[in-house]
Amino acid sequence: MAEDDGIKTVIGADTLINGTVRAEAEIAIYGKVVGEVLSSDTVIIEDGGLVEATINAPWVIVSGAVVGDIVATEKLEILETGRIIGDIRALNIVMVEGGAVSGRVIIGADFAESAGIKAPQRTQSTRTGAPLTKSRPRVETSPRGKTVIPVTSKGASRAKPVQSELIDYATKDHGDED
Amino acid sequence: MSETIIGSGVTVEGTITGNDRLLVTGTVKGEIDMNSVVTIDTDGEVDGPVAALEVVVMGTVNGSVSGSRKVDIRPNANVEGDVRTARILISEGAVFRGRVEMDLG
Repeated sequence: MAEDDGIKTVIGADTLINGTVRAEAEIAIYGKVVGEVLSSDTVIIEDGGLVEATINAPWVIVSGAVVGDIVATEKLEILETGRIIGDIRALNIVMVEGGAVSGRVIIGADFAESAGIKAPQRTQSTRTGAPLTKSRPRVETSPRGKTVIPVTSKGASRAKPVQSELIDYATKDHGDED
Repeated sequence: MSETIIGSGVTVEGTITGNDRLLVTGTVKGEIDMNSVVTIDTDGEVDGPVAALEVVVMGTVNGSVSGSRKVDIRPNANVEGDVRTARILISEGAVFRGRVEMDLG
């Protein structure tokens, strides 16, 4: 964490950043960011904030709106007013009732690894191996905030079950991969 | 109106616009165009034009500076670029290289 005499980076509600934000310290976004957010620290999208960008950071906390993909190498938190339209990949996720996600979701250590989650500042190329390319699960939240992820890849039956709040999933071994 | 702070561990490559006050302690590579007071802190660095109602420079700016009301270049500031403003202050110790154009309107 950067030692910067306590000055935290804040993007004010009436500010628009168009471009790439690279951070080594915590940032809180109340305004609008269009482009890319790359951080080695926490990224917080506050209620009222809008990020039309890909976000790549260890911790991402969403209370606002994100239109773009999120990669959280440690934890993604989606709070009551959080709205995400985009694909998310996270090692861990906390989703609070009221939050909304629409996109592909890959959560958990095994999935994250095979999905090629990397720490920020690395290239985005996916690892070779066994990517879950065949039938990527679609995730949608119901109005009551419960998320159901159907998992269909062969690897899933060997994977450890992932505990995520308010996320139930059924593991089915379809045996139809590769 | 709120405030935007680009802290010292942050680099923005692109444009920053809006009506918030802006404090740059980090790095901005690109353009700043705010309808407010923009302050470049002592450790702040901007590579690109800065336009605002008022610009206070305590750090480094490599680019033009345009403050419709005022431009204040403080000691230890380093400005390389043309300045366009209605009022200008250049403190002793500041390093400045560029043209100054004053508009009185």
